[in-house]
Amino acid sequence: MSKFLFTDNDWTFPRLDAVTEAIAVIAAEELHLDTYPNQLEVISAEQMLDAYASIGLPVYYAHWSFGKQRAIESGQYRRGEMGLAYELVINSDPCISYLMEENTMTMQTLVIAHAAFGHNAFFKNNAFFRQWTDAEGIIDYLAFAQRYIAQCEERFGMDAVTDVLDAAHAISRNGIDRARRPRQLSAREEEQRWQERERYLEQQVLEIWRTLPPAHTPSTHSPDIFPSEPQENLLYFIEKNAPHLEGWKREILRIVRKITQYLYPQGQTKIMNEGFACFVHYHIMHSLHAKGLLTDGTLLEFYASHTAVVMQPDFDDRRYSGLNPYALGFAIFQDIKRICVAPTEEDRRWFSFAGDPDWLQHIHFAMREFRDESFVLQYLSPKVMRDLHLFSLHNAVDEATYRVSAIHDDAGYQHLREALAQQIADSSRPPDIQVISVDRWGDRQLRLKQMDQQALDLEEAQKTLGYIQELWGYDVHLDIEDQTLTVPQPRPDDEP
Amino acid sequence: MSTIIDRRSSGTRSTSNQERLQRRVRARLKSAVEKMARSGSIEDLANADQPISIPTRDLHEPNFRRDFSDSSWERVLPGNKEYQRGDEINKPEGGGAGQGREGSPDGLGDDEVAIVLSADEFLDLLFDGLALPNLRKTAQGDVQAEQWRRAGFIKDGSPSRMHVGRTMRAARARRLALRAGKRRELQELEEARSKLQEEISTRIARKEDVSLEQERLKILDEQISILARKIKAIPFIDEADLRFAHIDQQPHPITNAVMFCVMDVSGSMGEKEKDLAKRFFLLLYLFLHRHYQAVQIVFIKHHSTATECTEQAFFGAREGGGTLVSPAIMLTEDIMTKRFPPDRWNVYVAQVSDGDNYFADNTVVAEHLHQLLPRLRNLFYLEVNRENESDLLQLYDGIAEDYPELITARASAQEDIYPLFRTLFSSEEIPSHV
Repeated sequence: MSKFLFTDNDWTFPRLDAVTEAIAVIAAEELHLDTYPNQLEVISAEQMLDAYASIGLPVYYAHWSFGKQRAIESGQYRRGEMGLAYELVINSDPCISYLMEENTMTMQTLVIAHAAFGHNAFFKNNAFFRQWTDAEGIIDYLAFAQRYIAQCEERFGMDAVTDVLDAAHAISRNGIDRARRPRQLSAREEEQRWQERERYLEQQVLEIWRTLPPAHTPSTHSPDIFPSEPQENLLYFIEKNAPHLEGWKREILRIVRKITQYLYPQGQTKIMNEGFACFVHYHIMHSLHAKGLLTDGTLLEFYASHTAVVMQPDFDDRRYSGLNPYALGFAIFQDIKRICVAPTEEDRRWFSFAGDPDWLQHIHFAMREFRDESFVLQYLSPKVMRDLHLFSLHNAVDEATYRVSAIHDDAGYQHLREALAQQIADSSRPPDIQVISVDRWGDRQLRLKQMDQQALDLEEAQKTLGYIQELWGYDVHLDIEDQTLTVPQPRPDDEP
Repeated sequence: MSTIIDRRSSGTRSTSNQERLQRRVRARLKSAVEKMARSGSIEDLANADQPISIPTRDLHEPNFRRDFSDSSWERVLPGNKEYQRGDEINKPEGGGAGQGREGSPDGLGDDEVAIVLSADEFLDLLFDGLALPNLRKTAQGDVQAEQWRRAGFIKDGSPSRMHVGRTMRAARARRLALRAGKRRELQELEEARSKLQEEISTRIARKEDVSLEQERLKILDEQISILARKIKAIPFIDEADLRFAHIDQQPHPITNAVMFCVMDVSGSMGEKEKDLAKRFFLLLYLFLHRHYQAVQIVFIKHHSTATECTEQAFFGAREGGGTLVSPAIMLTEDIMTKRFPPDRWNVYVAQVSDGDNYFADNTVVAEHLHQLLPRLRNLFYLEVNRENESDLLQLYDGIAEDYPELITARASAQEDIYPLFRTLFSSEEIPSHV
């Protein structure tokens, strides 16, 4: 009697159960993974497209942009330009993983190892997720958001709600406190109460503003600067300080802000998250095979999928579309293990932990304490750079050619590492635009300033400014290095 | 520790987003639909599940983002083969920051979103704001048919409608009710009788007098036999038990419509005229279909004589000869009376002609129209491809002054049909002539 969990490739619910159990043993005993309880849900391709359209969230409020996303993706899917992911996993407690019904049993095994244990452990342990997201409450909050927005549509009309959501989405990427971490989860309810109080105070302020005679005091004499420090969280600032915004609109801004914040760590840890999940499934699949639970055929099928997932096309390949986070993340995590188990002279020069036989501890440390930018800066080794044949290209606007600034050699390793970390940081961070002043005693105009030096897409910025102005209710200006952007024509006022 | 749930049966949840998306681009969808109605092929129009592509700029979602085209950057790339530090590489033509994707087989580029409308959504957009001019009649309820409907059970009716089950149920209930009391009484009497008999036998044993008891026994026996007869006399089935299924006449509005397509197929009607006619008929058909459960179509072609024919023959045939309109009107009237009596059908007539008619025939036409029109919902007369109004059109216009059911129009190009259709049916006012 063989011990194989399955020999043919059709999945059944009992098999899923047995496989999950076997994986759980390996995850706990060999990898010491600490995970949320798992909830595995089998879904169809149509449902997967649905999930795609709402950023993978199981419950989401309705908005036309999600319909657009779905139209684009289902078109690509139907034309065969895009395959669907085998799985989708949600950072919640219990951790929800979606398994596609089309998957073979081998794929389901891989997916359970990857998502239900790899991603799950990452969600539960990575410092970023721990500090920024509330896995326990998210599903309830999403359901609340969906209900609330549906109610608003009923009361105030679909168009009014859409307008607010459009505006909120436009600045959602600038709706995150990057410098200041949100409060700890234990203080969640406390925070809520505190915000209630704050909102009440804002309303009081509003009343006082109303009684002031308009524009009697010239703005140049304004004695105070408000806000006292520049504010990076535009959504939060508008939610709390917009002079005439109705309560329900503020609540919608808050919902968009909360959900954006919940999703924020995912954008910051894409390489690590996927890399770690790949590392976990790779270990688990081999371990299952070593224990005699998987057939050789299953292992071969696994290799085929695995290599397809972690493949990095060269820059001049037709399939190239940027660095593959699966490939890079997996390579680095595998490399951490190699540096511990079989270090070279070079590794010893680069990494203080080289040769420490307790590789699992270092894997866990890397998984817990970093995000993509710092992870690359800390762990991208010369070996991985050589394997991927990395090189960096510099573009100067006024030159006719690109210049190769570094390649994978001794002179280039350090530069490559830093350039890549910078590149990751830039791509995962929106332009730094902050509120610098509100003319509280004059025309109430809102002044924004771009704080970084990156070139801004001006046309886009102007349109976005239009949305901000819609929410703010008064003129909005954006200072960029040498010019000031304004909204060209004042949009027709929302008020009746 | 882990739960497995089968979620496949819960279906998709994208409808509400889809709805909002369509709402957002409604104006654009509408103009695309209208363009199809004006110049697209008739097949497209008839089975409208073609995706409509909407440029993404209509659905643009702006935010603050970087502009890489006009700034310096440094980028790390994989797969170096021969480059050394300091190598210079020519920039590709046209900036090259973005990688364009080639158009896909269905002609959609990156900057377009395909929206697939269901047939209903398509027609909603196509006929947005349009209404049938004569529909008010139905609202007032003047055209209603009677229909037999089941209406419970009654105690009286013809034997053929007797409901056996119900009848037997009633009979059994009656029997039970009538018997129960008597049975109880009978039982008591029998108990009393057996007691008496016992007493008699003990008295006999003690050699006592039993004449009184014998007397009582006789009375009891008589009472018992009377009761037994009474119980037996309860009929198995009684007239009161009979139940009959009842049917009743109930009024209900007529939801079927018939559309007569009448077309001149004489030599003067060419391919182009027929295409105009076809487009007009199709739009009218789709429009009627939105109002009625089922729409029947009768094709009548005519030159100097009129015949009913199939759709293929209708649009395909080209026959010579002169033109007489009155036979077509008469045939329509005839078929309507025989097969589609107006008290049971909503009758619409759509007539397309180039206006040629023998002058002498016009009076005959007028005469028959006067008979026909009051029995119709509408008669649409479309005159195609003529520079000036024909005598026939003038005749129709004259009649239309008395009969609002008659609606006339002229068109000379394919693109005219849909706008014409919109003016004919725009719900603000009901024009009798355009």
